[in-house]
Amino acid sequence: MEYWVSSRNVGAIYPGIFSESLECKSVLIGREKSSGPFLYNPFELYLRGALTSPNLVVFGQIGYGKSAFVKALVSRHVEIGYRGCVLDPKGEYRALVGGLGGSTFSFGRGPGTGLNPLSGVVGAQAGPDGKPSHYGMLDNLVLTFNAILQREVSPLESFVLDECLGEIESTQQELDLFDVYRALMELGDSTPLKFAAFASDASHRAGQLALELRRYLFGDLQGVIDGPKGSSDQLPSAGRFLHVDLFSALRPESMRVGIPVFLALLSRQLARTSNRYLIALDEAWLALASPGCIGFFRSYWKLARGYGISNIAVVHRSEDLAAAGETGSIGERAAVGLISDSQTFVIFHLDPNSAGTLGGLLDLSASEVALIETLPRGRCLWKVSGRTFVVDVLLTGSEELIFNTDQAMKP
Amino acid sequence: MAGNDVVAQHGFSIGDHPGSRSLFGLRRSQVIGEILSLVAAFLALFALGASGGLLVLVAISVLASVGFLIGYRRQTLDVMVLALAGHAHEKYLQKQQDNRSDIFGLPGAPAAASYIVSSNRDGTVRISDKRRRRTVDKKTDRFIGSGPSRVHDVAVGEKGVLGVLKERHGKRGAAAFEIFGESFLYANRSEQMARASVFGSMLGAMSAFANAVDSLVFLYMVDPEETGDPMATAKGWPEDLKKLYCELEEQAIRRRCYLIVKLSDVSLAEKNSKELIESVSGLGLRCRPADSKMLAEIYGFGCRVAASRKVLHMRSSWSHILIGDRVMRLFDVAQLPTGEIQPDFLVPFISSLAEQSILSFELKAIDSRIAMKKVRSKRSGITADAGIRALFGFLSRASEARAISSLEIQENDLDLGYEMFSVTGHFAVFADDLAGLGSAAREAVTKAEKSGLALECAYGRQMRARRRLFGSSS
Repeated sequence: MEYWVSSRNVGAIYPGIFSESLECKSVLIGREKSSGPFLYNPFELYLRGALTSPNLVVFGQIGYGKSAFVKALVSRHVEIGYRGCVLDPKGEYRALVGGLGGSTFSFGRGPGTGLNPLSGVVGAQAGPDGKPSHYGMLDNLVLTFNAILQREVSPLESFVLDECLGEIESTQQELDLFDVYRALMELGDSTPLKFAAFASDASHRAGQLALELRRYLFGDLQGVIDGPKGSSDQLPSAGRFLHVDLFSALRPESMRVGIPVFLALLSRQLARTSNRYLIALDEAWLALASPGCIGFFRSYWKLARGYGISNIAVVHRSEDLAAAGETGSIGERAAVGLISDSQTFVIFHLDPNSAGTLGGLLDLSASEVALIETLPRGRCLWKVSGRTFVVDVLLTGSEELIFNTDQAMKP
Repeated sequence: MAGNDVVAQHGFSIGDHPGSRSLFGLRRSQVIGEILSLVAAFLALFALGASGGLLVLVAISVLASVGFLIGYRRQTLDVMVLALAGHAHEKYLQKQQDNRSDIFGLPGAPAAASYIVSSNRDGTVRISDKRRRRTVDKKTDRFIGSGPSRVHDVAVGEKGVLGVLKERHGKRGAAAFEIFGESFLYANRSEQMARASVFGSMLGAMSAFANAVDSLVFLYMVDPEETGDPMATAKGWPEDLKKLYCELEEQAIRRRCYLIVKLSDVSLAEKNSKELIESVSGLGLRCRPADSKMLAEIYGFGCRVAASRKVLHMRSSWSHILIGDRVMRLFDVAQLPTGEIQPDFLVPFISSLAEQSILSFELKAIDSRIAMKKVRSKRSGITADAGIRALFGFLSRASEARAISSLEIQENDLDLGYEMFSVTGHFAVFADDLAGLGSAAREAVTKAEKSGLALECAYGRQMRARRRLFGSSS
């Protein structure tokens, strides 16, 4: 039967109704709703030009399979030769260590067991002799104080820290934060002439910095950044999986400082190796809630390609990103920057409010927002470089036993 | 093109068919039935008047039966007569060894034909008839020979952006693309409508591309067959994950859409390949020019042996075609959905298909002046018929009113500068055996009905329907 249709109506036979598959050769995630297996590997997609950023952000309410998905994603990559690292504030990933033959680093194990941010520098800033350079250490010191103060250090504070570091370096080879604390206290007691016009202000700031630091060295937050001098490799290197247990240091203040310091030291290790890393930050809102921290994250996100890493941030709701600061603030802009520096978003079920907010943030269509509100447990919406997929995350029998976090709820 | 920037707000209308005009609005079969009934009545009167013999009475009873059948089972009889005639024609062609092959009609005679899909070293695909070839190895079914077989060289990638099929000794050819929907299903309804409207405009422009486009063919292919080697992909994976992957691969169904632009002079397409590909990709549609693998998939679709470069034997029957080790049944799309439809109206049907199948639509542009003349003539004819019927006191028919309204819309569209297309649809379903084919076909027909598509089996003319499936003009 022959029909006559004008070009006004012939668009009804629209051919582009099915999406192109990602055509990834690894790693299996689950079943794509309208076709078959769904595979995703950020490194492979990046190499093929399908992605320009290997970073992921995972959204979803508690209980809809978000953690199980991240565990599957990381462990399946590790099993085929990649390296994985999970910063785990809930201690949920401990069970993975044994199965993947990895190692654990724990924060908050007691006095003197934390990291020493001054024993490692960001790779490119190491001195010609391979030893930490002054500016490399200053960077780490500023980063540490940004996290402690939950804001960017001021130019005067930076100057004070620079001077302190110079003073210590003139007398010692190896440094730790105890040296910095002492130097700050001394600076507070006798302000050098070089501070001239703002000497009193500098003295006051040095005292304040010392007091803030004191809590982490002698107070209730010990075991995070009070590591000893000497060891340049403070992170365990056994196996391909590194589990960073933040559960013992569950206090938000500890995590906001421990996470960026850990990542700064890890980046030094990454600069020396050619392994590709997946680094997952579970409950990322804990770190993202700190404006001092989020600036670091943004630069870390941007450096992902340089280090050969794929960052995975796991947040409960889009509002977790907004919590980084007031509208228009540095924190808010940095949080939005994380979104713009990621090309893959995995979204599990969200309540209507959160789904709407996220829709605005990620420029989702109304159909996608409506879909997010109705996603059942284990099903998620993927946005990969603007393309949409609906995927059922599938676990094998053995994975289910290890990955599900609600085992304790079962009789 | 005036008016083509107007985005359809509510939906598209493709299925209101104006119907065919004939004497007093009757169909041809109805007219024949009426004539036979009149002849029977005349003979009856003659027999009575001439106190005729047994022969006249037999003639009366036969004619009356035929008239009865035509009168009350017109459609069925019409289909049966056409199918019988078509099947006889196919058999005749088979006897004539008429190996006319169309570039997309899958070469070969209407029955017992074979063709070869093979890849050359330079990356081209060769699709050739198996004619006058000599069997060298019966076990592997390989043929060699130098008979005057018709060969289509597929020059893929030579021009960088365009996959082109062309005849070796001819000007005709085709450009093929795989089209991807870039999250179309998850877009807002308004965006879907906008995209589809722009797409319609693009088709209007493309139909006139370099004055060389014969037709545009959309192939929606559903393929539950495994195309890769899952074990190779899952190499090095943990055993349970490998098992899960293989299970998913077994259940996977791939759905693809190809757009084939058939050209009367393929060299024009090659010269203007950039414009052609830009006109497709400029719509937000991702498209991939055909490569040798893709073309081999299109040609070898439904035939597992295609990839192994074996000769494919085809044998047509009344209701199916045996091709390689598979059977297929061809259908015509007899009815498109009426009323307003959305651009995703095919999704439920294609998504629901679990058997290997192809749905195709061929669009041929009609010269606007000719189209306008035909539409006006048809409308005035139907209007006149309606007037005569009203004069005799018959009630007006709803179908007539719908046809007139539909023709008025078409006339208006032509006035506004829209292009007019003739659209024909075909469908094929594949199975391993006849029993499976029967159930798959019944299921497909039921599912199509839900989407407003009526599928009618092309009884007796399976091979021709197969050629038309790929947009053959023969």
